Amino acid sequence: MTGIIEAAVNGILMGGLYGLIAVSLSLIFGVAKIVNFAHGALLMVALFTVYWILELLKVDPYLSALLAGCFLFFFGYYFQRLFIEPILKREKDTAALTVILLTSGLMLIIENSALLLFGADYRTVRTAYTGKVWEVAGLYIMQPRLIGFVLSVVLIRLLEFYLRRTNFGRAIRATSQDREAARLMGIDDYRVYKVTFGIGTVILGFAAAFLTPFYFIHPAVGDLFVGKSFVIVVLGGLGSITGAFLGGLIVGLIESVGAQFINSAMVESLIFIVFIACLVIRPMGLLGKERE
Amino acid sequence: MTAGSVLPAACAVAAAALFPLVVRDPYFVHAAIMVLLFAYLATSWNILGGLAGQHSFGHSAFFGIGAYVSTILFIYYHVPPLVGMAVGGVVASVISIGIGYPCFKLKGPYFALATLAFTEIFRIVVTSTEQIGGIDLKGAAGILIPLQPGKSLLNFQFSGKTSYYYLILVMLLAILFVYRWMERSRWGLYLAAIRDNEDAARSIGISATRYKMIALAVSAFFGATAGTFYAQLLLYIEPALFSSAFSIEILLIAVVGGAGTLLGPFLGALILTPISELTRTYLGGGYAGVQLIIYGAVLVAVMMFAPQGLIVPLKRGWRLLAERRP
Amino acid sequence: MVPFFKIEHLEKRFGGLAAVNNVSMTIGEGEIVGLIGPNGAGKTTLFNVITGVYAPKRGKVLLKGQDIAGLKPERICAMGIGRTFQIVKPFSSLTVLDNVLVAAYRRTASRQEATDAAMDILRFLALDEKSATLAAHLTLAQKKRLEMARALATRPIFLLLDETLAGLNHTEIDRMIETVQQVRERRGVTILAVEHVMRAVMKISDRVVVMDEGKKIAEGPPEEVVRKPEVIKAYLGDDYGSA
Repeated sequence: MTGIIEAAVNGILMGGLYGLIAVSLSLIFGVAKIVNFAHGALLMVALFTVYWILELLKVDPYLSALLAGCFLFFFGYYFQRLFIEPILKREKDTAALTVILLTSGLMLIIENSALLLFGADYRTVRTAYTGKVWEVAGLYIMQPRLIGFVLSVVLIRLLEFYLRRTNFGRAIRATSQDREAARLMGIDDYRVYKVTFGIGTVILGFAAAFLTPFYFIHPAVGDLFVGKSFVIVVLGGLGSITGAFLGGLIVGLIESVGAQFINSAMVESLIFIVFIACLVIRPMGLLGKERE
Repeated sequence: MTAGSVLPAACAVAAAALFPLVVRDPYFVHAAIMVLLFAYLATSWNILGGLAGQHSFGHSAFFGIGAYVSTILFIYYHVPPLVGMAVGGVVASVISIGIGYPCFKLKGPYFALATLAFTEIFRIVVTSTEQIGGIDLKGAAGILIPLQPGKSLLNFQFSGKTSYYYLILVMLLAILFVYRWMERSRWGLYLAAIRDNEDAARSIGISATRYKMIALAVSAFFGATAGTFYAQLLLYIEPALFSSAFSIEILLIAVVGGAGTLLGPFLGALILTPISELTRTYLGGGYAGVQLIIYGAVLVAVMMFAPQGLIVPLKRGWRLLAERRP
Repeated sequence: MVPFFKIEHLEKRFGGLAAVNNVSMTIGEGEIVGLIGPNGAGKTTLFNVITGVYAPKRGKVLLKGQDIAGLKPERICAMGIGRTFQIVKPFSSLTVLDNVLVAAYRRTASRQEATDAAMDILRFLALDEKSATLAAHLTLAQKKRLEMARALATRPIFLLLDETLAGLNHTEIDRMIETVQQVRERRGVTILAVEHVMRAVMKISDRVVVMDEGKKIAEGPPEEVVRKPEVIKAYLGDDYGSA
């Protein structure tokens, strides 16, 4: 029984990070309606950014997020500007599919370039937090997971505050709800898309920093997260920040508790089955509403 | 087929038929087989993706089913692979109905994601299944197919690569005929209507789900037969045949060439497959990613500058050239 | 006597909002009924419920006494209800002839018969000279005619027209009004038409139904209805700037 509780706690903690990564995907998906198949590749870029900052500057892993964030904002901004924006401007009806294929191509380029540059080794960083464990009420909890979880919650709160309370945040929300109306109000929708994409990649930078103390880094590491992220986004309802976070917790929980009963590969397929069921039965997600 | 296209088509078929007689190097013959196989596979995708406009990200599922079904039938029940090929096709068609039922409730990106999820489920299940009902699936290790003594078409056992070449050439011609026939038929018109605007198609009484399902079942059947051919060519199958990466590669070939056109997938295979064959030979294991970088770059360039596929500017150029001649 | 077409207490909600709220109406065979109301009144949603795009939350849709509410669009087409779309939805990659042919196939499997029927309808709508043109290359006025041609090719007994005149110029509107009248006279089709061009509504409709905020607020002969205070209020209250 303790084993299951411990698995549940660790699953929820990991789920917080899944949630954070999915929030980033959901933000981009919800605002710009972009299905970004390169999301996992961008996470990998974020992980390597954090990795090199830690290797070269030897700063605290959680502080490295701020440095990485500066770089990643522009990476995301120009990713959108150079590749996706021209397609959105050219195509109206068919853009969604073209963007999927385009981002699939970018994923192949980014991941395999990383493979050429950094090799296929699994890298890890030993930080002050690596391997540390707290004992709480007889349960062993991995310290970096707990810190990552707490910081994820804080970050998501900050993001929600930004979206609700700042002018540009409101512009993002307006564009996400009705692009045409937002445009009529004088909002530059393409600028909103670029900034949103930038914010999305910054969030990935934070997720990378939270992961690094206890996770490995590899050119294909994004593949482990991208499928789950899409599952989570659909589970939580498109564009819903809270929904994405809750979806993350659910997936984390299924994954780690499920692994106590069946083998972990089967758990992974279970998550995909939940995903398909959710798409078909409740396409608006857990928290979404039916729209005309 | 119009009178003007009969001659070039006949020339192309003749050239393809003569190829292995002129080029004797088994390496090039193998590369040519792979080009034809991928053209065949991408055309099978095109029946659903091009004619019906349903861009499936899960076509590798059918390829894998074909490969595994015929292999298992061959090893455990001594069913000749040619028969196994047909059985695999039928099994894939039946399974495709089960996949289509939920997926066709979805549109655009959601359809793409759901089909992708399906093929991933297949990959994961096959990867983690060592044995099922007395049959060794061997999980991640994959299955080696034993050679049978004696040559026969039924058993897919030939003395050289050339026979595989002619077999896949005939298969490709057959699927191109099926594609053209479907396109020109009443069904093809329904599928085009569904592709162009599903709401409008349904409003004039076309049962979108039923016709998409037919396109999917046909597409799955041919996709599976490609899987059997591949298994018998390489005599080895593995769960990676089900992978979403492989699905994306199939779709990429069709889309880069031109989805929804007869020869687009063939053009795509002609451009992309040699890249993977060449990089594999000349760059070796250390540069395994180069091929995929080139693939990615081609895909990005095509999406940005010729989203209808390379066949469109090619046709335009051909027409200009033809007009210039007196 | 069973009415030709009748809806009873129809309701469709999106989230908390009732887009169609307890709407009832009856239409007699051979009638042309105009459906008017400010933007967002629920007219297109009503069309979408009748044609099976949405299932209603409550209520009945009766065609010759048979409840068709909640059937799929393709079934409803087979029952004899055709429609056009407010935002034209041509099959862009097909020729004009194929656009109509694909609809005509719903009544016959013979290519010859279907082609003859399609050409007939194209002549009726003066699109026959464009039969080999790709639908994507038509003008808006031609696309609107194509919408109607396609709907007619399924041989409906009841036709729903959603803003067939929007975006057309004066001459085109006159021509379309004539066409709509001929559809009834020559083909005996009953028509329910959403329309904003009041001149046309007054001219073609035997009767007008007015909707506002999902509800039916008035019904009657066109001249009478437009004088009703609640109708005037619904229209003047509407912000035309957001149209």
